[in-house]
Amino acid sequence: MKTVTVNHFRYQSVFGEKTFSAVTLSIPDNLNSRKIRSQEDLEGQDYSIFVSELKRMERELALDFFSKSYRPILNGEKTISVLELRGIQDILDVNRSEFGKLLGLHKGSVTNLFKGKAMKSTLCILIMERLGMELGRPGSARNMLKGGKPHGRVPEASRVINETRYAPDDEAA
Amino acid sequence: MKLKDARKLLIENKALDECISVRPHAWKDHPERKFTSLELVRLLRGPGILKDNHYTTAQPNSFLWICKDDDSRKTEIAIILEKNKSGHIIVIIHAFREVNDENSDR
Repeated sequence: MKTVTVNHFRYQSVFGEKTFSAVTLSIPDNLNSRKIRSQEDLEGQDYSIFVSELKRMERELALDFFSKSYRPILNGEKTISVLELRGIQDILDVNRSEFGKLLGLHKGSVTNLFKGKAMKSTLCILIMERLGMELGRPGSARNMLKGGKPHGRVPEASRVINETRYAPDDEAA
Repeated sequence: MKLKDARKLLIENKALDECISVRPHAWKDHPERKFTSLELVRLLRGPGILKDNHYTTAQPNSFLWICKDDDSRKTEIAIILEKNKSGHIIVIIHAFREVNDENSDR
């Protein structure tokens, strides 16, 4: 098994689709890595994506989702769908009961949310805050559960999150 | 590789991001199962049992990680342990869980 880096790799998650550059993949030994230049060359092949790369792509898509959705959710114009909720849970890297603890909810109430029960706007805002916290400081959700201090910041994500949070309403619209 | 060795390697490596990779087939090709890539990783890192993969359609030398998802549904994740330059990599190749409106085969 060997690794290959592919430019223009198209990845889709619950938050949307985007093309990423320099994605490291794992390919079988019998494939010629020199012949693989784009995603099309991997059609029908048994390639796999490393978790570190999956996390990088998912986080970038989640950051785009945060930028687009934070203001509409704050203004009560949008709510979080079940799919988006699942994506947020993945980013936070927690199970349902831990997700409940982060939101101050019982596990049963969290299960209801995942079944599509309507969410109050205050809860949507809290979920977005937790997402923003995790994107700005990876591992902070898990640290919060343990009662510890969060890790260092991701400057780019923190900048986008702060700009989104404090943007005037008319600019965000 | 024997099951005992596979269990040992899985325990040693499953916490490391650089030691797990996921085939897109595992979460893309059966959308009715509603898996996401990171959910599969989270389930593999959680509690479960590793067994030999005895399905007739199983890939040779693959193992089954049997666990429960957030809705307490039995979930089976097929993995293989591949060797590369830096050591072993756990590759998630397939995933299955029962869905109410599903009639698909494994």
